[in-house]
Amino acid sequence: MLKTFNGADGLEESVVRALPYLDMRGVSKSYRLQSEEVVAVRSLNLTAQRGEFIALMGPSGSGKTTLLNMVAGLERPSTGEIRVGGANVAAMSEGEVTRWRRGTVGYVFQFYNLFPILTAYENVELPLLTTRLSGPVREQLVRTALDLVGMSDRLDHRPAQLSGGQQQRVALARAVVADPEILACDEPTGDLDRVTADQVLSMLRLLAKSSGKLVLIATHDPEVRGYVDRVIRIRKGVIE
Amino acid sequence: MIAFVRKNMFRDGLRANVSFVAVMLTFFLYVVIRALSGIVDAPPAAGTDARLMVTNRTSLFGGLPEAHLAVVRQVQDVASATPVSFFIGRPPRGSGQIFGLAVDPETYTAVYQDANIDEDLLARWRAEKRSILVGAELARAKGWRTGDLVTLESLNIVRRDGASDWRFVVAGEFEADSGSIAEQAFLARIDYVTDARLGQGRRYDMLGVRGSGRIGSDGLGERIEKALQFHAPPVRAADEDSFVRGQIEEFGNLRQITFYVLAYALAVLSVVLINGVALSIRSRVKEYATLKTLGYTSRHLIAMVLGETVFLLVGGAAAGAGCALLVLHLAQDTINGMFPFSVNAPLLLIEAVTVGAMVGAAIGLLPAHWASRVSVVETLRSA
Repeated sequence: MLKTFNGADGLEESVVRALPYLDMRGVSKSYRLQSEEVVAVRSLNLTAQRGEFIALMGPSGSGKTTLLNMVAGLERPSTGEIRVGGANVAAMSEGEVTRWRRGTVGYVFQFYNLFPILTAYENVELPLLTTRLSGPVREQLVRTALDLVGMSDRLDHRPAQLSGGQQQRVALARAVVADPEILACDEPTGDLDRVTADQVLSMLRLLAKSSGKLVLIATHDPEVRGYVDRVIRIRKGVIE
Repeated sequence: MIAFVRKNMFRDGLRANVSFVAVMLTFFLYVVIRALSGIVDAPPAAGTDARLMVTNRTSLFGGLPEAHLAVVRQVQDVASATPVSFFIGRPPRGSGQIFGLAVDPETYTAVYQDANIDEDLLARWRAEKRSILVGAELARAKGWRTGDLVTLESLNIVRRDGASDWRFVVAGEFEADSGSIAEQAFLARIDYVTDARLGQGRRYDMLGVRGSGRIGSDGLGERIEKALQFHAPPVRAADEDSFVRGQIEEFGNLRQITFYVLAYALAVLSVVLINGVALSIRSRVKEYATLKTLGYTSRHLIAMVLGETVFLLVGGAAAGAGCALLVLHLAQDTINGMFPFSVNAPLLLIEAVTVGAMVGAAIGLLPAHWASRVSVVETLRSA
């Protein structure tokens, strides 16, 4: 799908191209849990380019999912700045960030989050229903995405009729169907056996390298090292 | 998107079907009541303000003594006056009511010129005490012909011998002016009914009066009431149009009852459906969070939830209204025996669907707001 430049903030395209695609500076995130303040991410700096495949690793509660969510615009930093393709995500309103995410971010969940009443085809079509794309164009995109993950023979299957690995592949197809620039994956292999997990990781790497997407995965899986370009270790909200 | 909304609506088959039936039953009731309340709003078919109806002020069926008739005839600018009693009957072992008027052939035609009874017909009517003249529409509906012997079981007049069966001979048909209620009624002789009925003596349900035209009906009514002010019982003299409307409205304050019953039914339906929709939304919180992650805005989610409730209500309203209109169509003959009645089916259907859409939107508003406020992070963390 052809994408138009939407770097935002009025910067020249050539300038934006020269900058890191993802640029996080002094980002902190804290929650208030009853009367206690919990710091999930502390003064974090991170840059990444398109086409990179990066693993965010660390123990449970280390802040890797929070970091991933902030990149995806699902959470706002308490302090600091997050720029993606030149756009200041942290400064967007809720409606703006939702529209931005629709065109920029594909998200993959650990437990797939497919809709049980919809077929594989319909699940993948969901992100396109809010666009102005025509029915035939949507169909072309959905079939291409499902073909990409090897699920084109399961179009009419519902999630309950698919294995865990197949469901995650459908979820992956749903995440890439709108051709996002960033793929954010939260424990995408956490519920899969080794063989299926390796298939999913291979696909993610392929997506990063063949279509220039920035792929970020939050994971516990040590086998990820064999697929990613970089591993970023996080402990207690700080990059080690 | 519409297909997605439709699938969501029917994802829990039992809940969706029960809700649909509840909506259907409510709108069945809605349309039936609205149609019947239309009787109140509909202009009476036979109504004219050129004719006055004089009735017992206390109760329509309280009756008036024969002496009142003599007084009324003496009132200035009363051109003619005639006694009238109501006869509500049905065929023995049959169904469907038949409406008749017991009247005096000698004076009736002077007051009710729109019945178009000519001299020949009048002569045949005079010839036999039990004879009746039948409105053309009623004759067609019942297949009655001149010379037929007709037996009717009266619902409001008992004979001296304790029986309710009345035998009449059809003396002829009359073609009343179009729209006249007389077209759907028969005319019996009041001397036959009065002489044979139990207990009442020479009393009439009302007096029909035609004025000379030199004074309006309001003024003539006031004169008649004034002339009878020291006679018992007191009377009300109103033009026919006001009289019919007044009687129908007094029939249990139909308009007010209609409003309360409908408001109650819609309130109960709303509470039940809001509960059902709220439960459904709460069970789908994770899905709404996922949709937000996929780029669905709050507006999208509000539209989806409202779409579900509006579709449910519109579909149920249309089905319920359809059933009600069918039942009303089948019962129309029976109802027409009592009141001039007609159903504007397309209008009622549009009204029911419109009300359904509005109630659907109102019911979905709160759950839609909840769905739009779902926190993605909190929901996905707790899932």
